[in-house]
Amino acid sequence: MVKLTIDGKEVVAREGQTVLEAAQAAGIYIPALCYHHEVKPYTACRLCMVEVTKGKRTRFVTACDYVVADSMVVRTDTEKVKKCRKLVLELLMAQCPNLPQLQELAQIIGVEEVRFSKSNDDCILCGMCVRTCAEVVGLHAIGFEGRGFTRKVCTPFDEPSEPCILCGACSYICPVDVIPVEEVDGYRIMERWHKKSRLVACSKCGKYFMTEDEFRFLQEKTGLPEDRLRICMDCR
Amino acid sequence: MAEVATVENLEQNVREAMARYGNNPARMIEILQDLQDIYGYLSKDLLKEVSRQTEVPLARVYHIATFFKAFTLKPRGKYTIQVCTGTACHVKGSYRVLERLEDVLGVRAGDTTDDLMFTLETVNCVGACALGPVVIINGKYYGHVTPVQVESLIKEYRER
Ligand code: SF4
Ligand code: FES
Ligand code: FES
Repeated sequence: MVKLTIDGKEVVAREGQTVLEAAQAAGIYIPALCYHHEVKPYTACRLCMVEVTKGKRTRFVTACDYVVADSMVVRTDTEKVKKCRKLVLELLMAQCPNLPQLQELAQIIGVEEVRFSKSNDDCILCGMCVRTCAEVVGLHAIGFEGRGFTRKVCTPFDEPSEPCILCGACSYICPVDVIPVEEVDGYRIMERWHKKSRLVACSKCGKYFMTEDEFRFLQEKTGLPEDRLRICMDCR
Repeated sequence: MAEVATVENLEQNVREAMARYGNNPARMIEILQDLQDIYGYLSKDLLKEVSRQTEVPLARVYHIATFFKAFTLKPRGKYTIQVCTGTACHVKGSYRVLERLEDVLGVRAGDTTDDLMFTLETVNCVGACALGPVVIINGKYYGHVTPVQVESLIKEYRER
């Protein structure tokens, strides 16, 4: 057990926990867009910056990957922290001006105007989708391209990615919801990754419940007999 | 001169490049550098073969290949046009020459025309400041280049 204080409040955390996790458990809000407990911290969005004092030294760290230590003093509410957050969000909003999720956040942390020239991206480059596909699904179907100004998230060569099974995990995890999944005429379509796969209907209730690509993936992974896999979760 | 890729030489060159770095996929950058030296650029087939043999997911290989400026994923043009954007040339208006070149060729600096005739690049001072704006085409220097000259210069090379 590790004892620390966050905003003056005594908090007990588990060894190896991050400041963000400890704060969340203690009901202290830290904005965070690129963190999820299922994937490794990536420190891409920079929204979770907090002030940490250990001994005599105070510094700014990203809460999502900074591990707690005994008698550490964390502040999430100083002027400096607030200013930093606002600036980070303002930059994100300049990059992606039309995301309701960012606008909501702006209300919470108090960003009133965006002073930077705006571009018109929709992706905040948090890498959640990329990491989820790689770390949770294990497929590495999508990734980053380029660097700096022209960096983007896409499939290799921006072409239909072979490993993608259209499971939709990336869409589910995307904090700003810009990876649409559509189902039309017996197909699932993920425009962003240029993929389309026929849907499989449950052999009992007849409802579509996964794509053929997912089906093959599961078959290989689980080794379960085909007739069992053809039954949807509800009918099992 | 760059080697022309075939299925066999791709397979073999990738295998050899990997072997040079102890078959360690963490040495991806060096592996790709060696392969680019052989083929002049990193083709899609090549990157797929690298991914297959190293067992590094294609999305990762693609990220590395697009991350570093030293790598190019497009074949280079027959002629490389370098526009000096060093301070002296810039002051003398090289950016206007560059703009004109981009217009005439229909590509941005760093890119190659679809017909693989020209690759357009910028360089920073080639030590010929007195001649600025300087344009170099396959090693041949052109000094005091004006935007007006660009079209005929390109035409001349196209007709060679
Ligand atoms: S598509 Fe969504 S999850 Fe993926 S990097 Fe962009 S914002 Fe993040
Ligand atoms: S949540 Fe920590 S940097 Fe994004
Ligand atoms: S600045 Fe162009 S040659 Fe020196």
